[in-house]
Amino acid sequence: MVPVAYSYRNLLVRWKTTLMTAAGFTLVVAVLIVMLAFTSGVTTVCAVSGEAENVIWLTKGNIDEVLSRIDVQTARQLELAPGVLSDDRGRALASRELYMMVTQRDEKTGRWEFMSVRGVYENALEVHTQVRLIEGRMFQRHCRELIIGRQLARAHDIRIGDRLTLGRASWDVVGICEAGGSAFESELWGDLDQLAGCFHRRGIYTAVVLRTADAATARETASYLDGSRQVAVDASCELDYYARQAEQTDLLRNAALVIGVFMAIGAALGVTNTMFAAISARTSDIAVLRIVGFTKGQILAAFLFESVLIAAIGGTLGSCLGYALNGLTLETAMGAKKVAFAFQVDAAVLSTAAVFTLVMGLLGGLLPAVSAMQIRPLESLR
Amino acid sequence: MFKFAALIFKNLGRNKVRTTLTVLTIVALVAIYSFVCTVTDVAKTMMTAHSGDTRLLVQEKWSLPSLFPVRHVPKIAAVDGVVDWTAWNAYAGVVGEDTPIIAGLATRLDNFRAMHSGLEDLDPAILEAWEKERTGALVGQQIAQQIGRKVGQTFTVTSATHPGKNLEFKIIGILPSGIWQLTFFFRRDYYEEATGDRELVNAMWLKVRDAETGKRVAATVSEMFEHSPTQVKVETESAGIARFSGHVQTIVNIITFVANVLLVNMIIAQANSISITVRERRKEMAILKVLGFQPGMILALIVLEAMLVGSISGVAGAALAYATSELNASGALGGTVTILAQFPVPAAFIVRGFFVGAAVGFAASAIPAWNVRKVEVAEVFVRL
Repeated sequence: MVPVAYSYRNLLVRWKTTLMTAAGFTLVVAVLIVMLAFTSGVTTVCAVSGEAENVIWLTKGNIDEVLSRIDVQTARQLELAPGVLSDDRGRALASRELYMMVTQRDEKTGRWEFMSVRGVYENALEVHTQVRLIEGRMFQRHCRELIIGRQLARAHDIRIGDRLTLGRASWDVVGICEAGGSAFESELWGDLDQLAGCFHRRGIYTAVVLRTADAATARETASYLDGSRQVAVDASCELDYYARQAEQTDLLRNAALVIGVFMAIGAALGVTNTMFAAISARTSDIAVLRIVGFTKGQILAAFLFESVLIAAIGGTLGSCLGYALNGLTLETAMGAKKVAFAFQVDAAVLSTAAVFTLVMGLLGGLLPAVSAMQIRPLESLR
Repeated sequence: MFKFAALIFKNLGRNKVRTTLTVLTIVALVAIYSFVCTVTDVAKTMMTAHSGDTRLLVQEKWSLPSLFPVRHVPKIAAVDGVVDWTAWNAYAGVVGEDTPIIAGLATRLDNFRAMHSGLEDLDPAILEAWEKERTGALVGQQIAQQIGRKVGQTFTVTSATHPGKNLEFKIIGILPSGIWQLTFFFRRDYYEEATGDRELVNAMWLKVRDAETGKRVAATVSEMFEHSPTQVKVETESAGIARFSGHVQTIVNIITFVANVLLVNMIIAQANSISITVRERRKEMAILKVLGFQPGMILALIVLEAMLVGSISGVAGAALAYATSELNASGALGGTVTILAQFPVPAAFIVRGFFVGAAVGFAASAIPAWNVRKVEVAEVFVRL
């Protein structure tokens, strides 16, 4: 039987040292959770963006819509691809789109900032079925009207009836849409021709999105035109396109883990220091434990338990601090796009932090515990 | 005084395990702190005014990617107060099937060094070679690795921005590590000939004498095209970069938060170690008092010991970060880590490591040292 109560009470007796050592783990875990919750939040936005039935076309080589340029003739060719559904009037269910980052001066701060603007035609809602109006109405063709994503409206406090200045023109906000928390909720949508005219982009699309019957057809259509020599475009299923955007957060996720490892080394060495000090002050205690029958293995386990307990206390506090961020919504860059995301402290993030904490607690306590195990009882009591 | 210093050094050697563990803790934390701070320093340096206020960025006013007519260029260049200028055209694409998209900038060759931040010290021999090679490209280290090419080799870009205009380039030099790691530069004359694009530019950079002239030039240029179908926006280099950085502000905030937490973490780690040391040495402190040491001297003893450990560890941690960064840049680590190459830790950080370590030592030891100066001699001896 491991002397668990002995370990636990020792932590209480030395509560100041226990708390200071645990604080190291608190910081490691809090930082790790903040960084992982950020990447998890952005990844979630990407994961819920796009639909399996849609195929998105960009100019060859582009991984983002901003720099892609598709001319009218190529767009017409793309709409003839096999597998594309037709609307009730027999026209291909294809959404020609013009995506731009528009600079706009914030009236409150006076600073210039970017806004994501997408020019579309009226059939866009039939292609992007996850986008639906929750307030107001759709913009009218040939009018300077906009519908705004829910997240963007919330972040900039924009309401129906507001007038926005985009370029040299004023645009009326006539509707608010939601799209299942996807990147579309961070965009403004307006009539493609009006936007193209305003921003000198006539005759240019950045992407064409085609609607097919199901995910399998979408993949077939994508691979068919991807191999085509007639049109120089890159085709991918919309879900894959947004999944690739999420890969950009991999760098930050890796950076988070590297920073976490370095901080964890610091915390583990702190535990080692504390435990060595504790052992040197308790050699006679350990000797007595050995004399009353506790084995070397039980002593080792008791001290390991003590260091893990310190780590767990710190880790729990850090998790609580990190969890306070859960759901906080901010905007960030995703490629050239700007999207709203919510910090997501989910089970995966908490488990990673817990594993970090426990492994570092174990490693930090190992050397001192081994040294405690090797204490010779009689010599220590002399 | 000398004896006092000797006492501090001897104290460090009394519990070698603890000193070593404390040093290792701070080395690890200062090393990662150096990397994190380098990222935030680069961002802040680029955003704050210095040369940034004498270099102006001209772009189309309303949208990204910016495009404005090339006929605006000579008019802008002729504005009173403009000392020098260059224009950029962006060109991006892929090299082969499996490489990521790479971005190039067509620019003027004759004033290349003067007009590009961070490239002022570029080897003139590279520019001479560039003058002789029309298809020459100056390539960021990271791009060179991604496409697996070296100086003297050629590569062909399948354009994503100019469909059907696939250009071949010959590498005439590699850009030093820093902000241009993921960019390549090539000649404007080659761009215009090869793409046939002689009508539009993406951006223009202006050099002006001083910040005041910069403001005047910015106002003049903005006014010149106020009624043109394509309006332009003029801002200082620092303001332009700040606007783009605003796009990634959340990430910058997170990194700044991490840097601050690292500092607190260092202080806690060392404070813990010092507290243990002080607790174990209460008897010794009492004896020092009996021998005539004033409370202030005992306080100084503890604080200086902590600052010594902190500063030595700080220098070692920063030196470790600098060495890793240099080895990474040279490719000696068997590959290049992109983010390290983009934000190389400067040698000056070793000096900063000294001060950071010393400051951490001071902050960590202040409370334990303050407590120990109040040690009651009688109370300690009664317990013996």
